[in-house]
Amino acid sequence: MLLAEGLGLPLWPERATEFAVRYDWLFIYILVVTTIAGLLVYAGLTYLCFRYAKKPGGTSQRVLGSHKLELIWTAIPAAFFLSFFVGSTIIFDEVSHPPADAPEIFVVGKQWMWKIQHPNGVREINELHLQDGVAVKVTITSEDVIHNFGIPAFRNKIDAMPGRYVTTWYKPNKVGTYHIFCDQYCGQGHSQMVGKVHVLSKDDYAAWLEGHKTDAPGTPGDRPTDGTAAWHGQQLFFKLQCINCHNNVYDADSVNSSNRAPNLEGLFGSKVPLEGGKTVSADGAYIRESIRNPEAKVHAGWKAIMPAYPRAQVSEEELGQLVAYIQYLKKGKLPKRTSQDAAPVGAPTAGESLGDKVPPAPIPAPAPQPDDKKPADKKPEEKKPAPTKGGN
Amino acid sequence: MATTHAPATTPTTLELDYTPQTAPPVVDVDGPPKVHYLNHSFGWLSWLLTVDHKRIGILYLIPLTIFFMCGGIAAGLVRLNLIQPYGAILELDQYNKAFTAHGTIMLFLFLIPVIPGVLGNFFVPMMIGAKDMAFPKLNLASWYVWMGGAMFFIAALLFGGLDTGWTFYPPYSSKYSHTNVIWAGLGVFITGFSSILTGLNIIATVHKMRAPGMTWGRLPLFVWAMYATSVIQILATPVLAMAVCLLATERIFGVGIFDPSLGGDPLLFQHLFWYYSHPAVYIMILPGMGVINEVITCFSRKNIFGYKAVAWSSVGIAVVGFLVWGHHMFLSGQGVYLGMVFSVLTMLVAIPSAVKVFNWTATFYGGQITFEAPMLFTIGFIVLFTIGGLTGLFLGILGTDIHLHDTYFVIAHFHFTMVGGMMFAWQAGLHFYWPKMTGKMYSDFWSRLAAVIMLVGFSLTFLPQFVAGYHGLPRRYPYYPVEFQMMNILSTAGATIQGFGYLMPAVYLPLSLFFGRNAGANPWRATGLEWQTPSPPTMHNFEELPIVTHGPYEYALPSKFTLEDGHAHETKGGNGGH
Ligand code: HEM
Ligand SMILES: [Cu+2]
Repeated sequence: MLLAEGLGLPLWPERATEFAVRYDWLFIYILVVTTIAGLLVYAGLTYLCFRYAKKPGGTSQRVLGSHKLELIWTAIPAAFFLSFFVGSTIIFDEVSHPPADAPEIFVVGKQWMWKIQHPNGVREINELHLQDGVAVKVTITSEDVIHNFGIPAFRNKIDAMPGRYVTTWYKPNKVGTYHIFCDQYCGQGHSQMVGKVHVLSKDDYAAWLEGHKTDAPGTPGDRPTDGTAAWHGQQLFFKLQCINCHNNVYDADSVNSSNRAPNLEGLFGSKVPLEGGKTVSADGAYIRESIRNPEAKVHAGWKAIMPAYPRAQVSEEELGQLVAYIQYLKKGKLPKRTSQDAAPVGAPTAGESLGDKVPPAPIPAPAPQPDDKKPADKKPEEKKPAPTKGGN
Repeated sequence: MATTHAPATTPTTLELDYTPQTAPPVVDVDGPPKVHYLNHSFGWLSWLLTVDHKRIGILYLIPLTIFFMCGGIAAGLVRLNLIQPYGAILELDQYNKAFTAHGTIMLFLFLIPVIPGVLGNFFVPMMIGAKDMAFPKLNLASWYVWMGGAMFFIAALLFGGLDTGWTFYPPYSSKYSHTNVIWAGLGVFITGFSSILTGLNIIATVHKMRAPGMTWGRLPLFVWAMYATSVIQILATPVLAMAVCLLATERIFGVGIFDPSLGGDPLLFQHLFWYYSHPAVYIMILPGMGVINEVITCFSRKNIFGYKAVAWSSVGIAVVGFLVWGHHMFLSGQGVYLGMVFSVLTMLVAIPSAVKVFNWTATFYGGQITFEAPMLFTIGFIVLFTIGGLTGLFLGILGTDIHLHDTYFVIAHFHFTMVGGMMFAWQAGLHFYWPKMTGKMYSDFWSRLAAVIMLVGFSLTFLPQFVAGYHGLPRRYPYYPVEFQMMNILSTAGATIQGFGYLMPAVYLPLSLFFGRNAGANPWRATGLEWQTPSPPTMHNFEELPIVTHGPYEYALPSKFTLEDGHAHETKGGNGGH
């Protein structure tokens, strides 16, 4: 690594999380052990080459081997490998288990950009703003081919797989700007699928949020106020007419009654009994699967009548928003629905029902979608809804 | 045969330039036999229809050399492009095609077939005292299949190109790439059959064709390595063929196998692909390790240290090598526990590799070491492979792979194993056996210089890549952040030196055919049966069936085996046979 100094790279690559420091310790431990092992081999080789170089009239000795030595140089490496493995398991365990209460950021890879959505609805492309000292959970997927979301300064990297959702987490501890790389070859623009993470101090982060005019500094899923992921999810919940079946109307005569499908209030995090006797816990992965491929796991007691929603209908981003909405849906949060007001596709749906639980404080109106540089991405139906009214 | 074995008492005049300077005095300089495998018949057909394993070996050698040059040119383009952070010479698409061409050609058309095709064909029968392979016609068929597949492949690269990387990951390869995935896949599919057929042939040969007395415990370690390789080829290659077929099915007919938008699973492909391709890295390295055993014993005049350990470690690598493929997919979300299992198994397979390195080093102990070109290449192999294997640990360990996966660290790791390892072993083997194959000795000076230049060039190329990789530079990036430029320039400079290194044998080896001194039957005074034949060998290798009475590397038994008398036919008649 010394070589690096003065050749454009810093002496040691930058570290911006505690995890990175722990990672480096493991790396350094292995580096030291392997360097010593390598040097021992080289020293032995050099010594033997000089010592036993051919001498005129010399004869070689008939040495056939030594089981004792072989045992030693099998066992010693094995012991070291085991210690590497133990350290490795600790590190990997850490990186695969986000803290339970960390807010969740969705990252969607797409040829050739990263679309990032914060729980408060702020969306960014190829840029990720994080607050120093605040842990975030990151859920990653892809809309097309396999990508890989890597941040060297965090010593973190994870595949963005179409059809799969992988999670990791970061807790940045150093203000600065760092690379985001796509590490999995994804075609022509692979090397331009890069971005920056900005780790901001608390104040700067607040200022940055302010600059994005979001109205929801609250915790995720707290309330689907304008612009949050849950809010977008609620839009979709109506637009896609999920609510026609998943509602809280128990009216046997109505087609739009919840006797066809489970009410989703309070679903998130609960244990769901399945047809066939198993149970699953309703996490993001289960909810995603239930939307993409409802027949995979059928809630016990319900018929498998729900249509599947492929990516053509619900993009990965939208899927993330639906998950956020369902996470938000605590008991009693679902807007009242009657058969009369079944919203036609594309109708603005937020108004009335949203008001329910939102505190009367005035909420800045403009819908955010601030960073979405590609207007084409916005579907016309997603037009800014009427500002929420306080109270019914 | 009369001319063959008469020891010449005086060296001939032409040879001075070509005398190995520290080689033991060459007492067995004699002319080549009048009739040998190269000149017993002439004309294209006598080559294209030959069933002689030696001629087939040469048939592999020529196209393999050409493919190596093609792959090398592609590498040159890639490296040249990287001296500028925004690409010096190539467009993005061209760059992607160039690195794909480099990787696929080097792997499928060079590293996998090179030692089995050339040295395996030529020397496995000779080493076990056989006149030919078990199935000579199958052997020729296998060459045709391979050439057919290779031609397909090259055509696919030339007319349209391929931009998926050698890993062919879907859904990129099945849906998004606009290049010749199908044709290239077909090429890989076909060459795979050749690999299977060659493997079968070698296994049958080793089982059935051994000379009397050539027990398993007396097999040269090269034969053990080829045997282990063949087992892998037979068991793993069909899985690659399946993966390629499924990929083609998805691409052509839109059947959802790997693409999730069609209901498939992209991880499935990775499982199938690495189920072949991890063992394939051992297909690439084991034959090389085999060669190292032959060379190291000969030039240190020693038995191998721990014959059994070395032989069984080949088999161990072959078996456990089948169980570690998931270490290429640690970050794909395959599951933490699965990752842990693959990680432990990877550590396990690293142990026999380590044992081999230690045993080779220990073989030097008590020797009489000389440093001709084959030995220099072998020492280069040990030096570089040690780094390759040790850095493999960083990648095989789940925790450290997180940051290193798909960076230049991986690139550097596998070049240390495959170029530093296999390529150096191939050079060692080629230089060791060239006199036997052609009957001529090449320039001692230039060959040693080439070994040193390759070593220096190689290290300069790939050591900086470890650093760049640890700083996060991803692989397959035509554009890169400017802070990595110096590392890339160093690497390109190294590649240039390396390129010169590879060109040198391409000059002095052919020249030796015309100007080289006659090598004589056994210029290195090696003990193997293959050296008990004239150089170049005659049509049927052995005039009389050899009878083997001892292990392969008895260099240290002076009276019988150092060939002080020029030609001790010590492997024959030891049992009073004739
Ligand atoms: C001590 C033994 C070895 C260990 C522990 C080891 C481990 C690994 C691991 C874990 C990876 C995956 C890295 C990643 O993608 O993140 C890898 C990649 C690779 N290794 Fe090794 N390896 C060893 C020896 C070899 C040998 C002998 C060869 C070939 C001759 C080889 C060739 C490769 C290749 C070609 C890749 C890259 C594949 C790709 O992604 O394109 N390795 N190695
Ligand atoms: Cu592998």
